[in-house]
Amino acid sequence: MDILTLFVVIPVLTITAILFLQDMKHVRLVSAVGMGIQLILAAILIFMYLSARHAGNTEEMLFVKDYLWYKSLNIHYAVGVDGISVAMIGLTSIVVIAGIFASWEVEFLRREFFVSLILLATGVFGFFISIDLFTMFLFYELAVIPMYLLIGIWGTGPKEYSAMKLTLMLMGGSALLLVGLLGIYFNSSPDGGPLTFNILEISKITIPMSAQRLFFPLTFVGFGVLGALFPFHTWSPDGHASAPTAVSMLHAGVLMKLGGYGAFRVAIFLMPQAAHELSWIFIILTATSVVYGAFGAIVQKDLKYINAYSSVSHCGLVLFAILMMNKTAMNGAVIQMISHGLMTALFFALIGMIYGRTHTRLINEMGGLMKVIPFLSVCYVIAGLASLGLPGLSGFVAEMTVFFGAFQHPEPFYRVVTIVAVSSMVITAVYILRVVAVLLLGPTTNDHFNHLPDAKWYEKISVVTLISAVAAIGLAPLWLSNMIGVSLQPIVTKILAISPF
Amino acid sequence: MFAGFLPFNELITSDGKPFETELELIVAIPSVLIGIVGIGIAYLMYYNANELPNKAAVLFKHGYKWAYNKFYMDEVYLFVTKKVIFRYISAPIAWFDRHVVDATMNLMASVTQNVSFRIRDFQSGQIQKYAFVFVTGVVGLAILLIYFWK
Amino acid sequence: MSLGNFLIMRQELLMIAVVLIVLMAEIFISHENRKYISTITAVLFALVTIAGFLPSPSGSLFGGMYVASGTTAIMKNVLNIGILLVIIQSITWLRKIENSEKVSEYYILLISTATGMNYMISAGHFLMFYIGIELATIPIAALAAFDRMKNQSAEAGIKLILSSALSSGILLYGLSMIYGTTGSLYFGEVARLFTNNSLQTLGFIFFFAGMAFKISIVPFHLWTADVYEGAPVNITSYLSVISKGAALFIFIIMLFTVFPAIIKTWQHTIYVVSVLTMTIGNLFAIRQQNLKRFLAFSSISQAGYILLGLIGGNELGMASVIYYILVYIFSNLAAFGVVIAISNQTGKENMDDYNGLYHTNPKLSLIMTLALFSLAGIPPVAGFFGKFFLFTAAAQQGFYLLVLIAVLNTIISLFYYLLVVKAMFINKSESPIEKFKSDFPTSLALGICVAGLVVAGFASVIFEAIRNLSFGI
Repeated sequence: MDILTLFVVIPVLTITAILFLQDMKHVRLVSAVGMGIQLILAAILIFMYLSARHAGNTEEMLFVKDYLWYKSLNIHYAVGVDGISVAMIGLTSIVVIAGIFASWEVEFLRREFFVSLILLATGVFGFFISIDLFTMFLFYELAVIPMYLLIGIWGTGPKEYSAMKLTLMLMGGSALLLVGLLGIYFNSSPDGGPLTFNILEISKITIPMSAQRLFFPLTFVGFGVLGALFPFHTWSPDGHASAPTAVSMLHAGVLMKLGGYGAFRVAIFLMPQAAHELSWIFIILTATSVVYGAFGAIVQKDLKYINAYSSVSHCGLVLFAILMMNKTAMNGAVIQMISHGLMTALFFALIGMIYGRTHTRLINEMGGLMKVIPFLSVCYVIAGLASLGLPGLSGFVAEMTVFFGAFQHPEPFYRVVTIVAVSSMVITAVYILRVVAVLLLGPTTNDHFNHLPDAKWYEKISVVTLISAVAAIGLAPLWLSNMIGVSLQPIVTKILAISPF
Repeated sequence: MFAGFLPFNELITSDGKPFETELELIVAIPSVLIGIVGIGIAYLMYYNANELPNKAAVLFKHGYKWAYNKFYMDEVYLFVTKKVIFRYISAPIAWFDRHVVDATMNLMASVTQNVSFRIRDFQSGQIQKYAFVFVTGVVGLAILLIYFWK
Repeated sequence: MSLGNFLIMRQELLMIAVVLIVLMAEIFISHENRKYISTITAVLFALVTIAGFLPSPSGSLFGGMYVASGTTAIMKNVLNIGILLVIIQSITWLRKIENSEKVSEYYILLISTATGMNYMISAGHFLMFYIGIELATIPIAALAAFDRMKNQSAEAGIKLILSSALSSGILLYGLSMIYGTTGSLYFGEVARLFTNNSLQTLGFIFFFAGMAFKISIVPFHLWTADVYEGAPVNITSYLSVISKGAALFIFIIMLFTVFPAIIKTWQHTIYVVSVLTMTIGNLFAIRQQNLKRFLAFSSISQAGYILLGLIGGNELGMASVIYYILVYIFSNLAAFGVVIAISNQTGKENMDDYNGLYHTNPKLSLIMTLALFSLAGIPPVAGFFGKFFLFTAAAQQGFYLLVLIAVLNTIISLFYYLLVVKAMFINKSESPIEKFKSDFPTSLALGICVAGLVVAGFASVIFEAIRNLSFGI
């Protein structure tokens, strides 16, 4: 068995093991072990990938395996990774393990909780390793549907409403996506010959322009719904607010990245001409997302809503950067995906932990937590600083690269929207600092808060894992951006072959 | 503090060649000097407790007051954020998000529900009505196909 | 007529033999041994099902009135699997006191309809087709009224027989027009002589309406909900899966072989009715509280999706329709299996009764969830693959807008399927359905369905086998 398929097999084995466990106490242990193996596997994969590249392997995708599945439709189970997917796999495994530790205390239907969580992870891993559009779509839907139960059963607040809204909106996105993918499939060999779902093969041909105009918007919006593209982002605040901690972490941290990754790998890569022609529409939408999300976050009172809107803003930035269609901006987009994934997972983990102690998420009801739970508070400050782009943490590298890349675009329109988007950084600083000030500093508002216990060991594992990753990217971004940059080259070459700049 | 170590000029290029960055000495030297002088004065005034700060405070009365209140930057900042951004930009955006964008999405759901409620009478349970709809359907199709889409 | 000729008609003859054996058993088996009739029938029918998979000769009989080919064989096999499942699912229900006198009646009627469907699929002549369709319909009306002590059941029976009389009348009228304009009732002859003149189109429309009634396509569907709700659950599941599947099979064969000359006409027609069918089926399904009614409307919208496979008139479309019906048999019978199990045990059929079901009966809830996800087309269960292929078939002919409408409709279906999932997993209940253990036949049927749901998607051989036997226009 090849190393990539293991990324799907291990979660499935973990789920099977959990289902056959007699003792409920061991469920979380088995999950942690399974996902720990997954993390080690991801580390091995990164190492293998880097050494293969170092050895001079310049193929677009490495570790490619291709099994024919449905012969008559030429559907394959095809896997392969480049630097971007390797990075995303690394991100996913970190966030998943942190999520497992963050939900250590789930009591109600524990077995089902971990099964659904790992099922979601299976879908995400499968999505990132796929290079066949059919399997990609299969894993995409597989990742979305456990969300319904995860939010509906273990969530808080208006959970049933939020879960339904989230599921239906995301499935609506995947409906558009399905039509887009079928369109790509039936135009995948304009000169005759067998049709294909394979991304690499499709990238070698040029899809007829008339088809691109039709299917690029469908595909992009289809993925964009998951990437919180304005105005299809409204599932995000409600969904995140109602979801249990680990689910918010996985969802904002990883699942929303499926949107960015897909928009990039499928929509832009396979249909660059239409992307170039229509990019202005989507750039306006994404720039709106960026600024609008940031402004929306300012007045929220609930910590999770703040973070959900901030995710809309940050994920909007990812799509924004992708649409700029040059190497620097795209590089920034990928780093931003990873950086935001880690950061926002960290945020949601901390919010969950704070909520578990204070039983409120409203910022005006809290204060002075720094004195009571210093560990969590300091971590919160770090997350905040990363989010507002403090140098030395991952957010700075990502956003700087994005904005520099975007500003390289010579046309005034692109420069203006870039400047508009940059303003979101200032707004981000406003709401992050405000939360930090109100929440952590100042006097404790509630007597009950004085007796709160600080982080437990499993919470520390969860948080420290994420913080180290955030700091690692912030301090040594070069290896990451190199890894991504090399893989971006063929994509950029394809895109630039047609565009005039 | 690590920012200086970031090979940033390499990171942010598109063509692999680093941007040329040079130190603007005219800017750099005075600013470093001013910084050093400031540290020196502060050292003189506060390293050993003495009367110097108070004297200075009396000497530069208004300046001290401004400086003490951080040049009223916080107030300006608060005014801009609280009064302008919060009230006139953010709050409307948040309202818009809930009541327009989100409501549109919810509207699609409720319209579906509503239509579903409205058409329930079609299923009346009366077989003669079913037969009527059946025959109407046939006639409708016949008209469409024979006279319109021929 | 030699023995070889009989082999061509093997399926139907075997079924008639089963009917005769059950009839004999009814007469000769002593009263206390009656309870074995169910088992005997199930075993015999299982043998028939297996026999269907043996290689069978192709050819025609009676001067072309009866045709057997690889395609008809696989269609019959798919149906047989479903009928076998329905037979197994009925065993528990027939053990009840009030049904103990009517066991063999039930099976005789059921297998007679199956025979009718097989003749219908193998028809090469309109009269053969008509005889088959009537043989498949009239016993079902009797079965729908099987709970004769219940008013609703009797109502279902009478509604079904009256509506189908109307639809048969219209169908026959259409056939007479076709005969009048072409001078023949043989499929091959009709296909050759069919042109685009108005009278023939009218004949086609009448024929179409008759078939649409069987498949319960909007606006010819109104009988469905009442009959499905009133009939015994087992019959409802039979109607919604087997009857519908058989009608779709013959419909697709006839569209492809008899009416290729007017492909534009029927593509228009199907376009319109499929949009109507999925949308209206969905809109009605949203509000249903009774699960039988709920599944009735869901099956209407499913028929709308299946029409997408027909519309292209291509090989892929036929393969995807047969495959989808196989998957649909597993999904719908799994869902009905759970409803039947709970209805047998507690008599409860409403969605509210299912609140908190997961906490008392986790296995049943999981099976229901899988089945509903499969109906909604959610991976990794087979329904996802089935829907994907249907949509691919339509997209192949460029019907992207129709595909878009269909996938948006699946969102609505997902909504109401999730309502059931929500009831089982999320809603709390003061008095949930008690924990109970299903007996062997119920578990067997559900087990087969679940295995089918999981295997049929991943094992591409099934689809490929069907694909190899399909044909386009």
